[in-house]
Amino acid sequence: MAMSPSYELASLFMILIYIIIYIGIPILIFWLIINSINRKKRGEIPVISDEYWYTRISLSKNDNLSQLFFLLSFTFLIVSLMIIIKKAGLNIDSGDFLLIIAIIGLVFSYVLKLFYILPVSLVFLLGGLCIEILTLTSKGEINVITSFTLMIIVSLIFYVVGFLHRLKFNYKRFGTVFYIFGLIITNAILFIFSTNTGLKILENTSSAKTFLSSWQIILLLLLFVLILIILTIYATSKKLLFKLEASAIIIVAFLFILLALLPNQEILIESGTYYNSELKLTLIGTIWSIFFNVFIFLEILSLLISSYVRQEKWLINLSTFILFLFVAFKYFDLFYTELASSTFFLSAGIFLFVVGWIMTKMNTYIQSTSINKNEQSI
Amino acid sequence: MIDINLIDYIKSSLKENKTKEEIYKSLIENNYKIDKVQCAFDYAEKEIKNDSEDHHKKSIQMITVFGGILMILGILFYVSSIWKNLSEILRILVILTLVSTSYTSGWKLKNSNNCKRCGFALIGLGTIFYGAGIFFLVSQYKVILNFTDGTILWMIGILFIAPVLKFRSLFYFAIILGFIAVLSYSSVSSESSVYKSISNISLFLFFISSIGTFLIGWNIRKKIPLEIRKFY
Repeated sequence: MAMSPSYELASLFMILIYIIIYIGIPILIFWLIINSINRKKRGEIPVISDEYWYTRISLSKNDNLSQLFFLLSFTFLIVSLMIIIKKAGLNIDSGDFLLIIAIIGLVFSYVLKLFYILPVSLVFLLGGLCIEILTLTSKGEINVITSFTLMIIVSLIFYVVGFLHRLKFNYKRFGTVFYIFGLIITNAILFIFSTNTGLKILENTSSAKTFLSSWQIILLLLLFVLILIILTIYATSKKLLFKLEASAIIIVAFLFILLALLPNQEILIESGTYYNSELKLTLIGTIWSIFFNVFIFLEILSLLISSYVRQEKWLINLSTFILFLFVAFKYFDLFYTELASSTFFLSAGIFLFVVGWIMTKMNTYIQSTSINKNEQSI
Repeated sequence: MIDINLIDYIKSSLKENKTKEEIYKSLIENNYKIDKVQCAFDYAEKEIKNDSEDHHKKSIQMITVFGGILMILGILFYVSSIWKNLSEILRILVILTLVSTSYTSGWKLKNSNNCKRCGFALIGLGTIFYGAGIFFLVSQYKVILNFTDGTILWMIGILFIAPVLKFRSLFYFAIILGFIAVLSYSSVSSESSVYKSISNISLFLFFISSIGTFLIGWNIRKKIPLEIRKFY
């Protein structure tokens, strides 16, 4: 049975909120902490001599204050529009309204270089797209996993667009926002599917129709995939993306397209009494669970390696933090109840020690290769 | 030329309770001329004296600030105790007096070198009195203004005062108030009476604030040095 539209909307909105709260906010806090530590260590570095100026939230105190005023002005504009629509008695869908706001925000932020409005506009854009996609899927009784497929393709587009911004010096800061948004959403969706909640979505939705029965969704999917492929090829040709990275992006996109086309399958079964029931994985469910867990681990690891190869400290820090979050969550989730506390902490320590050792090796290897390169260039 | 390292050395030695003779002796042994050492000594002693005077001034300032806070608390408690017995006009007069007194005294103290912090604190207090005044007038005369409108009016008032007083923190306070107004509007249920009461005044206030905050932001951006603006 397909889920009701209101339930689907509510669940996807909740997922979006969870993504922002559980992944976005820790990353923001982590970013602020790293920034403040670096500032204390090296003193306040002027923007002009900062190599990673595009990772700064603000370029100066006045920049921060002016950007905050622009953001406030934008929110006032949104509320004014909402009141005008209400007073005029216009019947505009929430999805359409969010998209209109997102477009206005994007135009303002790019034309006038209003940096703080960009992430807010992107949240509105994602929210609007979520609602539009869900309305389309619920109308045609299409499985919800199609919505996730479309969302992951959008997030991959964000990731590639983030790197494409590096072509123009002035837009590098905007690119960082796109890159981080793409990274958070892709990892969050993959993470959701590595848990029982995600697998339940896979099971519940595979009983509905596939997207092949709706020409609108096929068209939308084709459009998104085409944009992703063109942008990925362009970014690779400009040497902004590695060939392996580009192929990984395409693989993730096609994996989710295949998932949306899967036939009906039993992933979770209920066991125990009526009052004390428990969801257990079937054999297919276990295979899916292992597949998604290994897949997300490899994805984060490749992200870390690509950051090392790029030799960008902030990217290394970010991907290490994501890896740490993932490992810590999975470790607690899997072994906290299973292992004795001494074994639990001891094995965690050994695991982190090994990860640290590998990272140190990678760092020395990269440093030696960069020295060799410099010597060759001299 | 006075050697700064020499002054620093003398200052640190004096702080370590070394005698003048010991310091002189060690410096002359290191081939420093007596004139230079004498000159550096004078400077070092002057600086140490200034430092101790600064500490003294700071402790006096702390006592004054504490005294000021206690005085204000006393006045507030007195006003609240007689508030019910006051007539409407007197109440308005009390608020106006509190706002104008805190702003003017804050302005004067801010411009003097002695107690700048007291000045800033009084300006902040005046801002709070101003906001309280808005909500008091709304409840007193039953003006059709909801919480959102009141907060926006408060923000607009601060935005007029902040550039005149050149008080940066007031700008941040105004921004927080602005976001509170937006959140209070969006948190109101569309079925509630407050939502239905949203009038043309609200629309006008939101629209004006949108333009006003944009212009303020633009004006602040103009002050950013050109070397940073090339990153835009």
